[in-house]
Amino acid sequence: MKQRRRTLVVLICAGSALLLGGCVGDSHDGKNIAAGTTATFALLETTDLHTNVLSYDYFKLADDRSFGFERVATLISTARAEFPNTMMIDDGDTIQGTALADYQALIDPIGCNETLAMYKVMNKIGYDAGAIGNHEFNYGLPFLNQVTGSRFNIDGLDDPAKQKACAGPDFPLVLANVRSVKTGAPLFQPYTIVTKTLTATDPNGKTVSVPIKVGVIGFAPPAIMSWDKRWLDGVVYTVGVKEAAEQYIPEMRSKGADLVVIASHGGLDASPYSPTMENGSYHLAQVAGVDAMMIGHSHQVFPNASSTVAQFNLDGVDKVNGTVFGVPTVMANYWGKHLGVIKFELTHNGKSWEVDKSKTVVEARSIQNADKSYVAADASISAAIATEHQATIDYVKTPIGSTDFEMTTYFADVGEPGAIQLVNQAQADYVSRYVQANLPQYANTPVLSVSAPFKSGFGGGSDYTDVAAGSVAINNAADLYLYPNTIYAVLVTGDEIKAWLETAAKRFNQIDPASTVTQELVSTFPGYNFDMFTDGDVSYEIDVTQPVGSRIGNLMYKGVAMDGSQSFIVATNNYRASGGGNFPGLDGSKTILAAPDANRDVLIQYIKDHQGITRASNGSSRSWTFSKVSTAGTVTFKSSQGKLALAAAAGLNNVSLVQDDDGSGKGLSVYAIDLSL
Amino acid sequence: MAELLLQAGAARNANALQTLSAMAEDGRIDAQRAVGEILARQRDAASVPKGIAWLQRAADSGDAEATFMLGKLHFRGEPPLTRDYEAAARQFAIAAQKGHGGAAYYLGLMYRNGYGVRAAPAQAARWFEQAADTIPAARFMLANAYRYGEGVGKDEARALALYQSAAEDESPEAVQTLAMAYRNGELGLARDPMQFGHYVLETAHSLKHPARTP
Repeated sequence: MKQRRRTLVVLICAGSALLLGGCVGDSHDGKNIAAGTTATFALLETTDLHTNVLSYDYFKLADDRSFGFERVATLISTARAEFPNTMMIDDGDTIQGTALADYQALIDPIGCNETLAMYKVMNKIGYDAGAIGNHEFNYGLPFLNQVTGSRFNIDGLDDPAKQKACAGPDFPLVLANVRSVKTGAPLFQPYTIVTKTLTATDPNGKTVSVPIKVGVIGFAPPAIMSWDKRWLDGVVYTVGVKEAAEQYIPEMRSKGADLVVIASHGGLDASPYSPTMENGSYHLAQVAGVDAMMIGHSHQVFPNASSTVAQFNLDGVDKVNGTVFGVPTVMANYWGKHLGVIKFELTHNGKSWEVDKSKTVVEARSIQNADKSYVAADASISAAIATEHQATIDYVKTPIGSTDFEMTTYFADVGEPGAIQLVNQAQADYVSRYVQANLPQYANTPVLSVSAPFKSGFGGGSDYTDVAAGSVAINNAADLYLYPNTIYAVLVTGDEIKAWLETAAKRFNQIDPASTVTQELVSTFPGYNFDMFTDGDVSYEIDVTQPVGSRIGNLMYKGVAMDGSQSFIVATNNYRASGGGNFPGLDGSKTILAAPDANRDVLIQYIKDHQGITRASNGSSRSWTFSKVSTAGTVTFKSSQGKLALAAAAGLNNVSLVQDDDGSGKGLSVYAIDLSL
Repeated sequence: MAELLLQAGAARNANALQTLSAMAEDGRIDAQRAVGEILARQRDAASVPKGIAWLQRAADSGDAEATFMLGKLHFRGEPPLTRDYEAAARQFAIAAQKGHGGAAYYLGLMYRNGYGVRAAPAQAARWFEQAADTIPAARFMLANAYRYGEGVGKDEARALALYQSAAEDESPEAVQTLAMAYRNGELGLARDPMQFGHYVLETAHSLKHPARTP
């Protein structure tokens, strides 16, 4: 609270307020400041905090000291002790990104009188201004309106006069390049002019308190219009960042801003300027009248002399001293890993403040110390949001369903679908419902689903999916679905499905049935690319005696040979649909649904909706078997130690234990598979 | 012009669209392309043919962007259009020859998979290479080509550099490829659980704002 009182007057200059002359200076208009008065003034930046309030990983339910606002808060305190005058600015992507954020937005949405945990602790630390990033739009405009304490004038919300402004940040949020379709006016105030009282030294060496007016203008990436199209299309639109800067910066100067600070939620891109370019900060730096830039969005550190990142090795960018076309610029990484600092030495010339550019220092300070330890957390932060934090943990641990069998990937390579079928069922269900509701042209196209054993022993015996029988909680969903993919559906033909499966079948070495030596079944082709169906309507064999590309046989759909020209919709994820794993024909162009929902969340919802997971209904539908062949020698594969009983429980009658410890020291056994059974 | 396009398009301003149409009638190529794009995007049976006609006029005057847009309409074949790979390939080829990155990317996809052309991995890689500078998705496809030796010599180091570059530009699939590689020790990288964790979270992050495909 102490720091916040340094802000004498916060002048809010937005839209029509300007016409009413609402942006007039306070009584300290600066004319009484003696020429030669000097002051040290540091701008501090956080960016891309993404609601990482604590150094805590909600997926692992464990501390992680490598990030967190509670640690950067310590750096902020240090900087405030070090510099006589500071100003605190956040550069956006603030309210989304952790389970805590989702909890407060989606699971148990906060009420109008409540403040988001992230803003709560920012209010506590004291900020002078904040920018709006692209992720602020992720939960939609009504939510953003509420939690920022705004009263947007947009379609879909009441007239601002009828709205009650809810609790939010007690610092101004600024955004100059997003406008309401309804009014053509900026959604937020485009800029603010903050009057700070500087502790300065007059020409006689005496300490004096004198004002400075700092204008802060904010920008978000215009690409929000495609990323959050479902919320924004037809409701708001973006204008180019450069055009907006050129419009407002002279206005800020005319309103008395001594310094103009750009808070641009975007990185540097030297491509020719366009009003829709995502990272416009390179061009913003070249707009006249900019004293400093706080940038973000790219999750990078700037300045950084050793940076190999392309955007910091462009003409006009000084990655050592932290300038872009001479404008001091800082990017403070993400999740509170760094604090951006731009230190100015100011001299008043009797009329206005001037920056001694030779003395400007730009730094990005890490929460990690030189000895690899991390700065201590500011204990007041965790205390302030203890309730919200615990509620989120409780939510993540909440049982969402139960299973009557242990869902594992120990034997997925040899056909056990126990941890895969549920994923496929959830994906197919989601896509079917979407198609029926939104894609009438595909109403009669069959919907299938593939998924792969993401955890398949690469890291040893513990690197498998293993969800115990009993209650299933949200954090178990991360074990069943390791990656944060989003659900996609592709439209493919029977021939393309066969080619897809041929690629997946690279998972296996070619087995020589006549060879008497022991042969290893599983190749180096990764398990995460071993896509499989687990659907009673689809069946196929994998003949591992054949070379890659000729292994899939007897591919049937509903009991008859799959028609190579028939169309199917296959539910999968963004990675596969967009070319991940280099599958033939999967290149993004077959995608008919690119859902914003995560496969994992779809799985969670499916488990909630279908209470009682059973082996019979959700874990025993094998679409594929190995083509039967007698081998002269043993065919082996590795899996976790002590799991043979699970193979038996899953009905695999062709698996036996060869060697309890494979000798790797990684908790793996050697198992054999009899391909003739 | 930029302001007009903005007002006529995203800001849904009918007067701006009228002004733009008048400029298109007067023969301004950028206005023809803009009106064509706005109408073609409206997806209704009446607007799309008008949009295509405007794009065709701009394309006939040598406008690579309009030619590319026509190619994409034929490539995607969204209703009321039907997919026409041959027409798309012709239009992409014209635009790509003029240095259009998006057209080169789609041409790469067509040669990789044999859409409307005979599959030719080396040609595909060449077009991805041409598009790689400006299109992260092309960089990702080119990285795949180097990783799996499709149309180019297998080169994991080159693949890794391309994945990293595409990941920097928020290609979610490239970010995830790095996550998987750090988890499993692929692409010449040592296994690194910290880096894996980092890239998994970055995958989730990038999926909220993926690099846009052209």
